[in-house]
Amino acid sequence: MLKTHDLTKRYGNFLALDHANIEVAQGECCGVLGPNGAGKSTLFRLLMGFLRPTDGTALIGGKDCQKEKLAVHGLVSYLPGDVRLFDEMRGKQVLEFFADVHVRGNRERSYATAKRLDLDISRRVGYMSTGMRQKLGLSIALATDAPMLIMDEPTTSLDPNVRREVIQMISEAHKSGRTVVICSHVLSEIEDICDRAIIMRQGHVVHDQSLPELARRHLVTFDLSQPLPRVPDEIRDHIRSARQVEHTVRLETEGELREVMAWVTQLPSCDLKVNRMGLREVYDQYHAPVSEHAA
Amino acid sequence: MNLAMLRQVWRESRLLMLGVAVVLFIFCWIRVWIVGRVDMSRFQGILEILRPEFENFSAVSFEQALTYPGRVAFTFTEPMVILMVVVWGIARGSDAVSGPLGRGTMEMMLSQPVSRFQYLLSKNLITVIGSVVIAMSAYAGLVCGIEFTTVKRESPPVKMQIPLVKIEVEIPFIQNPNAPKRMPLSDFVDKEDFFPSALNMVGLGLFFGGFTTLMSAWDQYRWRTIAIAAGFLIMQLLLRVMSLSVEELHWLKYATIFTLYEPEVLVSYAVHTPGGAWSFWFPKSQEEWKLGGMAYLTFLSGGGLAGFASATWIFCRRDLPAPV
Repeated sequence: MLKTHDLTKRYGNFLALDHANIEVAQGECCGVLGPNGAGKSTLFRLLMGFLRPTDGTALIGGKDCQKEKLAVHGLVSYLPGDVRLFDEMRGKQVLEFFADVHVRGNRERSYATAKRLDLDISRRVGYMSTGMRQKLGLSIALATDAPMLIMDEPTTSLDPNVRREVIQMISEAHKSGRTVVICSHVLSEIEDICDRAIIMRQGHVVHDQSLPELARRHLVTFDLSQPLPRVPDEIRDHIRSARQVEHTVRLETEGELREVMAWVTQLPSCDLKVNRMGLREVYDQYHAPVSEHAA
Repeated sequence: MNLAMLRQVWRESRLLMLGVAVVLFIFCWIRVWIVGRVDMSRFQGILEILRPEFENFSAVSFEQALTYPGRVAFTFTEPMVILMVVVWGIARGSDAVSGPLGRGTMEMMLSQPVSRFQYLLSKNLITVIGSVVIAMSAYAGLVCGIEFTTVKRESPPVKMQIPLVKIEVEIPFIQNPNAPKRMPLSDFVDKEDFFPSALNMVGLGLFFGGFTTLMSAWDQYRWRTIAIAAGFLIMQLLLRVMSLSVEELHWLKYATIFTLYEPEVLVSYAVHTPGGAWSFWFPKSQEEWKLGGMAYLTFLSGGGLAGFASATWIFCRRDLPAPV
């Protein structure tokens, strides 16, 4: 459904996106992660044809994002990172306009989505709070029956209840077969709804993680007063990495845990902890806070 | 053409368009009514003294300026009228690209299946229609003024015929009580003579609309687009004044678009040189050829349309920055 090939965007000497090669299959939900300035929004803006790439191509549904913008926009429902709408119009008028202007828009669906998000659409946009404007943007994007959803931080400025509702709605869209590409700083949201997570850093795609695969990974930590013995061959396939720093041993496992635990419990270990690997651990491999790097 | 898009642009601009149209309608009507109230013959002596200064700053002759058509024609050169037309052009032009970019509404709009060309075409179409509506509204005000204004008429003196010699002699201090005191202005002014001037005003609106849209197409901030357009307007007006007032700087008239906005000249053509106001190029005398009313309209609106076309070319190719 989405495919980029060496997609690059350069502003003078600044490289905002560097040869990004991303593929998202039809019906997949893909999260894009990275700190501010990693190139996520630049990627989305290139996909929407707002920016012209310095190099490379991007295709959505087989259509070129630069040369066939109109066809691409017909396939996509997009929510920008900073939703700004017409201040002088009422929420209802805004919904009606966007439902009319998009070939896959529908007024009734827009009203229903706004109602589900508990949005007062009789109010003028100029008098709406940031959260209300975000809800209005979401009502437009989620009500459009396009086969692909691209959302840049959809839960920004929302209270926890609405945030949960939005995640639920995106999840429903995904389950109905729509392709979703979502960018968020809230890792738990990505873990909840996505099949994959792409991690970006300084314009590069540095990691592509399958989340069901990640769910089968664990971090086993224990104290061992002797050097860690050689890992037996039978369980070697289940251990991705083993590190010992002074007395602390960290084993990163994959798949079946029982055999690994059987070996660990034979060792004179103490203070044994087993944690499921989360997106946070993967993310921190590339973007650990400065304080942790220093440590 | 996307109708929803067109309706949206109309919704954004209708208040300004109607406001400017109503103001100009009323202003032009009142201005013509004032022409009917002021008896210029009483000021003729004073004006004669100012003739050299007047002729320095005017594109029409002194005699033409004192006639009713001449005085009504100056309605379209009033600063208020020029300001209103230019305000429309600059306001709509600056709202074409840099306005929505600055407000941040462009991103959501262009993420819909609406091409940039369609988007700008809707904006430009409303700007063009607005320029026509505003100029026609001013013309309608002028026509109402002409139709409903009366002017004071000098009563013909009462004459008496001396018997035998059959010579008529005016009797001083006596007026004919049956002679009408006021007459309709339409008896002295033909409203059709002002239509080429109204078209000239359409051209001015289109020019400023096109120019400002062009500035807007490569800019990101509306305030800067407006500042550039306003600076251009002031510079053009200064060049016009300098080209008229200083003989050595007469060549500056080729550097200002206000040389192409001369509604009073077009009225003068319509009155004295029938056909001149509706032609592109006509002989004023045996040696002198002049630009006709159609040339004024063509050059101004051509400049405006070139601005719209260039703006579309730039807008369809540029990067759209993220909202600030």
